[in-house]
Formats: sequence, structure tokens, C-alpha cells
Amino acid sequence: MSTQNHVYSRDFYGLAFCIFFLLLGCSIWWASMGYSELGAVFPRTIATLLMLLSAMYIVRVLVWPKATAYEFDGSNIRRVLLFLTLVAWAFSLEVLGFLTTSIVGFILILLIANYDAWTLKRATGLVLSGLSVLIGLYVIFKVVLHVPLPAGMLM
Amino acid sequence: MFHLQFLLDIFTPLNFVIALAGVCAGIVIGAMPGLTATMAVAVLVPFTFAAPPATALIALGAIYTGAIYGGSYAAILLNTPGTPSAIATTFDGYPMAKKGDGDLALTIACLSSVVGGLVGALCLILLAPPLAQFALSFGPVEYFWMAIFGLTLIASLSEGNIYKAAIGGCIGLLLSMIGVAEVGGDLRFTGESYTLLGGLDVVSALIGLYCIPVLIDLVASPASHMKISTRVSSFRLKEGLTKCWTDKFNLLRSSVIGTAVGILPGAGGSIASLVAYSEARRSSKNPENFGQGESSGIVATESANNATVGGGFVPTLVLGIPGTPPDAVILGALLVQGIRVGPQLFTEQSDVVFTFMYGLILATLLMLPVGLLFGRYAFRLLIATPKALLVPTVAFLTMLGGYAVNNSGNDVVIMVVLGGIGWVLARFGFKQSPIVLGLILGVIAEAGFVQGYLIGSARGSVLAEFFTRPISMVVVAFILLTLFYPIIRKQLGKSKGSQS
Repeated sequence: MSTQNHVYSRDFYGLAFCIFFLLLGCSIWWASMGYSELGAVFPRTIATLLMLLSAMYIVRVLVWPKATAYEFDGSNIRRVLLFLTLVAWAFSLEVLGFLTTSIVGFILILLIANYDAWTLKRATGLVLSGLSVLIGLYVIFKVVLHVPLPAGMLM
Repeated sequence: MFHLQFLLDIFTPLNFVIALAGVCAGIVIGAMPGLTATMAVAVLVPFTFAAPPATALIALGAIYTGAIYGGSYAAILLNTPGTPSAIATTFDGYPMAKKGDGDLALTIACLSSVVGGLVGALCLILLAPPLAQFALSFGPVEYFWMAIFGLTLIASLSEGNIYKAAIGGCIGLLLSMIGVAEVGGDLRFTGESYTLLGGLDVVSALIGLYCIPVLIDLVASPASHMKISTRVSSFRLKEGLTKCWTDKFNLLRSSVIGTAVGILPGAGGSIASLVAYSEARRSSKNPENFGQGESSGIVATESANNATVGGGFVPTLVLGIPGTPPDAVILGALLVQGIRVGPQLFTEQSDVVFTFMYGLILATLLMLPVGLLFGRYAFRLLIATPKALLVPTVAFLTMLGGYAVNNSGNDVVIMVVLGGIGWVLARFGFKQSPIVLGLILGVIAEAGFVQGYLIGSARGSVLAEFFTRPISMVVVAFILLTLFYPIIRKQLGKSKGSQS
């Protein structure tokens, strides 16, 4: 795990984002050309505001630079793994079934979030208590609240 | 004597038990991220059909008020608004919880919700017909200015960089335009994808923007997810009461704001809590503490959102126009019970309507012991749960909540993607709260603006439509006051300093 705090002489990341937002504003203006007058007025107003604010921030960063600190602490590998698990979970829940994907997703995230040494007792305790919460909530939503959770191919 | 009889009617064992059960059910459902007060009421409505009309109404009112309060649990403990009404509760609630004061935050939320709920219910009992007339004087232009007033809160959420906060607000406003335009019917920013035709669901987006980044950061380090206060042995009720008493003007003002906004059809608890938060920050002696775990922020938002419950019933019962989405569900339940809403309701079926109103007060009072008890154990449970178990459980709840909003897998995908984008943007200084503000208020602002523009064009002057209506001008004055108050205060401070 890495713990890093970076201080930059000027806000380079903010600059990069604002250039992106400037381009985004332009593309929204371009997209709004195809809308009716009423449908276009608000997107154009907000896009103009977005471009204006982005341009002002770019000028500020370039002309009056200010030291900016960004924290890059913690394990980015775990962050990426968690996000990828969530994405895979979201995309597969209707195909494979809500319960199946939830059990797999739950165990994967349990593995990603755990920092302590695995012992048989700890693993059994965490998995059993986790699964009982998961199945309990699933039953409440599916049976009591009648939320049509997708069954998919597996369940 | 007339009202005393209705007051006594609510204390039948059945009404009492129903109100208690309704509050408990509402709090539990409202506490789950993604399950809104509307859903709580809608899901439990069928259980009330067999009950007598007054009892059924008490149950629905209790569920509704409990669910609005329940939203504060997830907002304070998980940084995820359980209901959209609790968005602003995250601003100070979560920082308080991170500092180890989650139990105090929950107690303050409970006390404020009770006061707000009582003010709303009392206004409903005493002033329903004239207040309903006031609601009718709000047109599209007033809604537009109200939304802009809510957006001024971006300035107070800027955390030192107003440009980035304002850009975040613009991103939120643009996100709110995805899908079919409300006026004009254009398909906007859908990328020819059917998934985005209906636009972004606000609740799913909220869960994504607030909860997913918290999960992403929780797994990144082995550190504990929450500091443990040395004072977790009690409810911290005395401390909470002292904070609320010190903040009594804020509490009352926010409750009145909540009631007034609740009366406006379609505005709802999220706008009420944002406006109350903005006002609390503006009038505070320590505005810089807001967003860092300032208890006044929780007092403002929680009293305002619970006051919308009573306020929302005003147009629902007097005019048949639901003030908030849960009111619309309750309106349907009233019709099933054979109750005809309208001004005649207060004379022809006064026994039912007044028993219901007093029942709402009973439910709000019951929220105090129930809320304190639930809050205490919710906080303890959260502290006792190992992080390795907490993260997948919260992830599961977000999936469940994200799906249950519209029973749609697309909403879950959008929620996760927005969560990832929200995390990246927050990492580089574009915080989630301004984006969420834009997302929520964008729809109201655009509809109000376009409708006001059309009406103004038809009348011959758009400017006159936007700038000459009395209520609009009052809201515009508040907008200007909110924006320029820090400068005015600075100038006043300087002149006082030079005099002394």
C-alpha cells in the first residue's frame, strides 16, 4: 500500500479537467443544434456557463498559479478491483440472477476489503454472517416487499 | 371540545399500535439506501385497506414521517442519503460520524425531525385552507427561482474553490437534461441509447455519487471506517437537547421553511432541506464550520424535511393536489377509503381528517423514543461490524436499492458508472454535492424557466414575467442576500472595527 501526498506548483489536474469541460461544453452546443428552440435553450445556457467557468479557471491556473495538494493515499489496486467487481455485478445481475451475482460479488468484495490474516474461524464467521444478512435482505425484498428481483439464468 | 374529542380518538389502542408500527416500518425502510419514503408508503399501502379510514390514514402518515426521518441514518452513518430528502444531512452528518460523533448526530437528527414534524402537523391543523391558497399562487417562474435559490447553496459547498463547485453544479444540471425533455419532447444526450431515454433516476444517481466513492475509499486502507467516541454509552440526549436549544431559531426557521416548501406541489423534502441548510449557513456565526460536521446543518435539514410531511398534506387534503410523491400515493389510498378530498373534507368528514391530523402528531412524537433507540443501536452496530463485512454489505444494499427504485438493471449500471465518475471528480476537487444539487434542481429549474418563458412570450414580456411577480421578487431578494451576505457581513465587520 502506498501513501503519497503530492503538492503541485499549479493545479495541473484541474487544468486538464477544465480543458475537457471546455470541449464538453462545445460538444453540447453542437449537439443542441439539432434540438427544438425550447429544448435547446437550457442546455445552451448551461453549456455556455460551463465553458465560461472552465475558461476562467484555466486563465487563473495559468496566470495566477497557486500550489495545489492532492492526496493519493491508499491501495489503488484494491480500489480498481472493487470498482471492476461492482461493474461486473451491475452488468450481470439481470443475466445471471440477482442472488447468484450478489453472493459472488459479496464474497469478492469481502476478499478485497479484508486486511487481516485469514483464519478458518474468521473466514467462516465473516462468510456465514455476511451470507445470512444477504439472504435475509433478499427474502425481505423478494417476498415481503414484492420487489421483482431478477432470477436470470441461475437465480 | 370539538378538537379534544379528535385528540382522544387517536389514543385508542389500535390507533396507537398502528402509529407505532408505522413509524418503525417507515424508519427501517427509509434507512435503506435507495428505498424512498414514496416506496415505503406505496409498499405498505395495501396493509391499510382493511383498516377503518382514520386508522389507515394514521398508518400512512406514520410510515411517511418515519421514512423521511429514517433517511438520516444512512446519510449520517454511510454518507448515503437513505431518501433524497436527506441529501443535505450528509454534508455535516457524515463528517460528524467520522469524527466519532455519529450517535450525537443521530440524536440531533431525531430531535430536529420531531420538532419539524410537529411544526408541519400543527400548521396543517391550524392553517390548512389559507395555506393551500398560498400554494396556488406559485407559478412556474416561482419554481424556477426556488430552484435557483437552492443552487446558490453551491457557493457554500465550494470548500475553497468556487470555480470547481460551480463547474460541478453545471455538470449536475447537464446530467439532469439527459433523456426526453419535459417541455418540447426532444431526445437529449442519450447517445441513441435506450438506457438513457428515461433520463437518470435521481435516487440511483444519488446512491452512486455518494455511496460508491465511500466504498472505493473504504477498501483502500486498513484503517477503521469510523472513529469510536468515548461517549457511546448513552443516547447523548442531554448534549443533543442542549445543541437544539442553542439552535432554537434555526430549528424553528427551518421547520417553517420545510412546511412552506412542503405546501408547494412538486417541491418536496430535498428542496426544503437544501433551502433550510443554505439559510442556516448564511445566518450562522460560524459559516465556515458548515460541511465540516456542524450540528446546525443537521438541525436545519432534518427539521425542514420532516416539516414537509405536514406541509405536503395541505394541498393534498384541501385541493387534491399532492404536495410530494408520497402524498400522491396517500391520495390514492384516500380515494380507496372513499374519502373525497377538497375543502368540504374539513366539514363533511371532519372526524376522519382531524383524527388523521392528530394521528400525525402522535406518530411524530412516537418517533422520538423509537428514533433514539434505533439510532443508538444502528450506530453501535455500524461500529461493531468489521470493515471487511461492512463494505460488501453496503455494496449489496446499494445494488438492492439501485435496482428496487424502478426494478431496472440499467439504473444499477448507471449508479455504478456515476459512482466511478463521482470518485474521480471528487479526487480532483470537483465534489459530489454541487453535482447532486444540479441534478436534482435542474429538472425543476428548466421546467420553470421554459414554462415561464412561454407564458411571458404570450403575455408580451418575458422579463416582466420573471422580474415583477411579488413572490418571485421575494425569492430573488433571498438569492441576492444569500450570495452577497458574506461580503456585506465582511464590510459591516470592517466598519465596526474601524469605529472601535
